[in-house]
Amino acid sequence: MISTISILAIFVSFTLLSFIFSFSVLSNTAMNFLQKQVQVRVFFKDSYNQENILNLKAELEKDPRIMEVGFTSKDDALRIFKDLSKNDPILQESLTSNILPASLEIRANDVKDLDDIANEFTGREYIDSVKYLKDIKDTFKYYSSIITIVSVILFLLFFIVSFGIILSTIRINIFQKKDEIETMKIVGASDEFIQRPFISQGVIYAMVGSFLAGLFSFITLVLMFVSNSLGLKDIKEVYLLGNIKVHFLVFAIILVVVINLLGYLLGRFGSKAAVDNYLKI
Amino acid sequence: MLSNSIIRFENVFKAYGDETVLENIDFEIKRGEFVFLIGPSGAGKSTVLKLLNKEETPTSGKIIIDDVDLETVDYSEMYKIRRKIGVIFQDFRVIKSRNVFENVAVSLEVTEAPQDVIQEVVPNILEMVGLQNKILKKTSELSGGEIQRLTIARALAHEPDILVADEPTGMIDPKAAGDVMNLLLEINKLGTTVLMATHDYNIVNHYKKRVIKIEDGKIISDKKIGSYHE
Repeated sequence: MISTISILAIFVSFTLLSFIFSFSVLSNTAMNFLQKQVQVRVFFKDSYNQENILNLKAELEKDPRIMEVGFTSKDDALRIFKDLSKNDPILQESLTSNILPASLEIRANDVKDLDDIANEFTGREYIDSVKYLKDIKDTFKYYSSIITIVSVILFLLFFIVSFGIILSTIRINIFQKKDEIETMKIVGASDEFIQRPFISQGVIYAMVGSFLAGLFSFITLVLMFVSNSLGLKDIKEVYLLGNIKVHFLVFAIILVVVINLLGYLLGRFGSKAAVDNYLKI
Repeated sequence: MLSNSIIRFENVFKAYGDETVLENIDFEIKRGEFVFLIGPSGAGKSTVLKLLNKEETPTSGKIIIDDVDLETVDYSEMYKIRRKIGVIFQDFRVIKSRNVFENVAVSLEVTEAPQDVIQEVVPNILEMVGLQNKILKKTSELSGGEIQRLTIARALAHEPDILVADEPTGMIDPKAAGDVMNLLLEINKLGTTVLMATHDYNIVNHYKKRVIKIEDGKIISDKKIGSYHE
């Protein structure tokens, strides 16, 4: 009975753990996607010709901080502006490419570097202006940090809860077998011999619970993918940690492996802690 | 080379707080001896037996088992000494969740004996104590005498050098007590040292063995062929 309750509790706890982990990965993916939309746009004075701008672009592309650099010539800028103002023919008539400056759109690998990149251009004589939506970047950074911190806290919390479940279960088992342990000690059982079955029990409870949680989470993620919820079928790839990108279904498999591994570690160390604390030999 | 002495108590004192339960206990038991440890209830007999396998530790003094000073043995290593000692408890201490076979097998399991050895040894031991027909019975289906014989079988299964019996006849009828005594004498004849705590003077007087008498925590006599009068 106590074993069934423990396995169920580990199952619930590890299912929540895997959902927190999945949520964190999906958030990370969303953040990565949104970060890519944040860019520094550098507008050049007309005196700085296109050849110089393209040379500068080539130079920037060698910078490891920079993910990509886009070039918008004065003609491109005019075409874009005309597209945007096609409902205003008078405005369109009055526009010429001389009015709009050429520009470079710079995207960084890490949104944190955008500040430095923007500062490096500000004040240069051939620069007309530098546009950089710092607020958006800061907002992304803020929410990204919050999600990471909350995920880590919840993850640790549920892991500690699971640890407590194993500890209590093994404690109850030890208490129930108190007389048997006493007798075994007197007839010559070593500490290791007495501890072994309790450690095995802890590992089995944790692994059965975590396996069921992993299976449940895997099925849920696959169903989410198949039904294209959250547009997962379109995204296809998710960001595991930082910039490590994997297919969503590969992530689901990794999740199962990680949850089972955590289950083993939890059982091994949870039951070892229990026998060390409650099995005074 | 092993000495002739298998159990030695040297000036052993044992106190629980301010209460002294054993005082200046000093005796030696040779290999193959049969010794009665007698005295009234509360005299300190059970404490002496508990000190033998380090269930209790002395407040001062030395206890030497098979040439090993127990003070030098860490608790985690004590199992090696305990495997040399078979213990018959006054309160039986059978494992209720296990049947007769399994209760005896536990003595071998703890030594990591292979299953084929356990399967061979346990029925032989149960036959020796007359429980061959009760092999798969639950302990709750046994009489007091049968349970005591079961605990003897368990104590003997791993072939200990010393057999310690704490009031083995105390909770069984006279007929069963006679059977248990005969069994202990048989085991002793095979070379096992037996130390039996009892306050049953009929048994002590009948068997004419060495008698160590304890009263109020002190040895008051140690006679090669002793007797016991209340």
